[in-house]
Amino acid sequence: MDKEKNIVEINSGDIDVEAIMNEIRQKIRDKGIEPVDFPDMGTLVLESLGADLTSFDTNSFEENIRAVNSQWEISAEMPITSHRKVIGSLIVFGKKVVRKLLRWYVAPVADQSRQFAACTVRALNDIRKYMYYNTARVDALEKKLTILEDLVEKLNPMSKYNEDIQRRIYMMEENVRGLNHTSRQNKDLGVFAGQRLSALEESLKSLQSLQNANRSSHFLQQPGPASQSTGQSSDDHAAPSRSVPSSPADAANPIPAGNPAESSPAGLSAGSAQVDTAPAVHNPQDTGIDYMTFEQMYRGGRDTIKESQKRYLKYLEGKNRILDIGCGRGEFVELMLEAGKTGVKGIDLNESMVALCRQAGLPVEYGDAVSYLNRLEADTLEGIYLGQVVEHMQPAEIVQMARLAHEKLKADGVIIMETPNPTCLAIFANSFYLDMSHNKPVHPLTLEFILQSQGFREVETIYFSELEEKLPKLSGSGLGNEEEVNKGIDRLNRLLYGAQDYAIIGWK
Amino acid sequence: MIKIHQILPAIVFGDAVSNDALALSGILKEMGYDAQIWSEHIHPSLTKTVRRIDKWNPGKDTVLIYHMSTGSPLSCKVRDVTARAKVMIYHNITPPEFFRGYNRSSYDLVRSGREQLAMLKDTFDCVFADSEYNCIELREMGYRNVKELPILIPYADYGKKPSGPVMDRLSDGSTNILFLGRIAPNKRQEDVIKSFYYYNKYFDNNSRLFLVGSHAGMELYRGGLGRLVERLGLGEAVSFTGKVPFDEILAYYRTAHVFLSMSEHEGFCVPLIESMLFDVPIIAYKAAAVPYTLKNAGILVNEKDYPQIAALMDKVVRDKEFQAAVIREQKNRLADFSYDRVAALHKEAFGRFLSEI
Repeated sequence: MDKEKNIVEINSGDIDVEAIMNEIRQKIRDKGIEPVDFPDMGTLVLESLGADLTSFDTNSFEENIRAVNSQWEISAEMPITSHRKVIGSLIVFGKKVVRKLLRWYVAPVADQSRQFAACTVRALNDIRKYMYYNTARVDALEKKLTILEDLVEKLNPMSKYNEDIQRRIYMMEENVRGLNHTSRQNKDLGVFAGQRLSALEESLKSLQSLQNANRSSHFLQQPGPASQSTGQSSDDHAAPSRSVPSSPADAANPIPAGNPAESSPAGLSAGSAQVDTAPAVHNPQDTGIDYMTFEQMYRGGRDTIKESQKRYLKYLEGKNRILDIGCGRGEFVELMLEAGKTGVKGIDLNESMVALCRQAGLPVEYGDAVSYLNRLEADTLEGIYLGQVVEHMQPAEIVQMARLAHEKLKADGVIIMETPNPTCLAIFANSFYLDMSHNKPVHPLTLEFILQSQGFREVETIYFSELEEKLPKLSGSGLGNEEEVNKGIDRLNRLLYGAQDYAIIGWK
Repeated sequence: MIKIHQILPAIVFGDAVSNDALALSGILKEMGYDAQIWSEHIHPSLTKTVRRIDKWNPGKDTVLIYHMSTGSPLSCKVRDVTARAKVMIYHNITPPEFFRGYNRSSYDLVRSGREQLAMLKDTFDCVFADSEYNCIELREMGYRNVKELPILIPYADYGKKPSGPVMDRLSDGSTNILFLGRIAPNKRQEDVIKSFYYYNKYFDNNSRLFLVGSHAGMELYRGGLGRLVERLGLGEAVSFTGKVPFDEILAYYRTAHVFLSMSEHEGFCVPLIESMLFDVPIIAYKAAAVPYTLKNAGILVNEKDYPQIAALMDKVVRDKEFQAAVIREQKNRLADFSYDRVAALHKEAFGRFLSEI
């Protein structure tokens, strides 16, 4: 576990910061302190202002503004009069004298007050104007905000669409990466094929000279070179390149080295000579398609596949001897190695795939499921994985493979079979018929039955790769049977846009 | 006799920059110079000590010391005036971003201060900065001849009698958490409140938080803080004292159990030294000049994890051994800023500078 970061820094040798931090963390755990989502200061400031402004009275404010505007002019020169008839003029005169005498003292104070009042009134008038301007602005902004909020609401589906486009771009990028990778590998395979061709030519030459030497005695018992040169598919030649279990050991095969170099689509039919003992996994290349490029384009990037296969790790916990049947580009084998499972092995019927895996240093060999399993001793394997394989197989092959798998697995060994889910109709529109080497989809209940009937004690089915796209439900439609319609939509959604794949896991 | 004029935009009692200018004036006088302080805004109690800058007419022989801590028209005056030598003492300027949305004029003031600081780059013969952090900042701006000269803190003043009523009110057995400083967004009082919230709720519900300092000009921020206290239901447990007299400041320090700073910008942070003086253990967020002022003293936190900060407060309050170790280091650091030592540094620095001009 990573060491937690210490928030405390004490630069004193006497204090053990680590011990203090441990104590603090323990205290927080003991007290069950939950972090609080504090409001931000902007909101708090606005709230605090709002609290005061609720008592703001516009009428009294306007009244006061009117009052200060009419009363601001303070003057020391108030008129001096008297209502008395005789001594009135004397009193007025006396007061005027006093005023004159005091003017030097009073006038500056009055002037200062007037100036102060004038500034205050001007400031108040400006504030008033600014306040109304701001109120109008806030109103306008609030209106704009409402419009913007509506717009955002409308744009939401657009952003979903955008997300969809981004996802598609991402997938395309993955595919381009895959294609780049394939093109690099094709280059390497070209070199490899060149070398193999030279070796074959050498063999041919030596055979021809042998033929010449024996021409007089008409010793022509090796048809291999002839069929090789014409490129035709004969039992001798095609069988080892495909799936016949015994072919690698076929003594009649004149081609040196056990692994065939070509990938002609002879497949299971060539091996059917011994179908009674070992019907093999159907060879996808029967279609004549370059399956490796096809996978790169449509199966998804290597990392994506590996990531999705991680869901099986938990079933293989503590198991080491694992066989990946139809390992393809070897993603699962690689994932197992990364998980420390050194006993993993992959087999496949496509030589290009096998060569690709071997180049990458993966323990993969050419071979079909049945013959490979046949060669094994009973109770030796701990796990068997068939990722997107059973849909390529004939029903009898699936049953036989399940029987053999059960025989070769140790007690508590596990078999995992991943395949497209025919209970989701979208697979027929999207993926299933994209791959012409698919035989037919296998219903989860069928596969479950096969495993159970072959003796697997416990079987579990998991569904995944659910489509995000769904039919929208009705809401507020006013239809009397809206709920019923929505239930129907739910059923349709499950049927059309449910999980595109499933995996069946069986325990011996 | 060489005339030395210290110039600063405003001078009041209790403010760190003003205190520094007043103390420096005393030192320069002691050294035998004709030292004067000139300012634009003068606190009424200082009108006899400080002169109004509008009457300032320095002679060519005057040595000028400019205290830079904010924007002011004086910056241009200082740049343009002819003087025998010009010195700047840099106390740092709060980055304007902190004031955005709280006070437009404060924002404009510090922003112009930052611009003026860049403008004055080649004006001074010598620049003193009161923390290593400030030195680094000036050097990065292209200032040359920058020297560190700690701020002058008259330790003796802190021996005065604290306010009796405040002492009585605070010494009632509750745990007192203190932060002292202007209520300002750069000081992040909201984070002090958040930390205290956890402390009060989970560790000690008989605790109080005192946020001591003026909120003049920062009413909006103060309003937001008040609302936060309300929203957290802290009510009476948090006190905003506003600006308080010096004897009350002494009482707050004397009764505090922890000094908690979450400030994100300080040029020096005098309250840290004051806390050291009163043996108050310090927990402070590591930002700006704070780690330079603390050095090995106090407890620095490098992340605002409020529950952990609260647990740390509890630890330093309860664990007396830990508390003693923290205070011991604080005392050691305090010696570096003792008035006598810093005054001697000033005498030496100014003595050398003035003898060379």
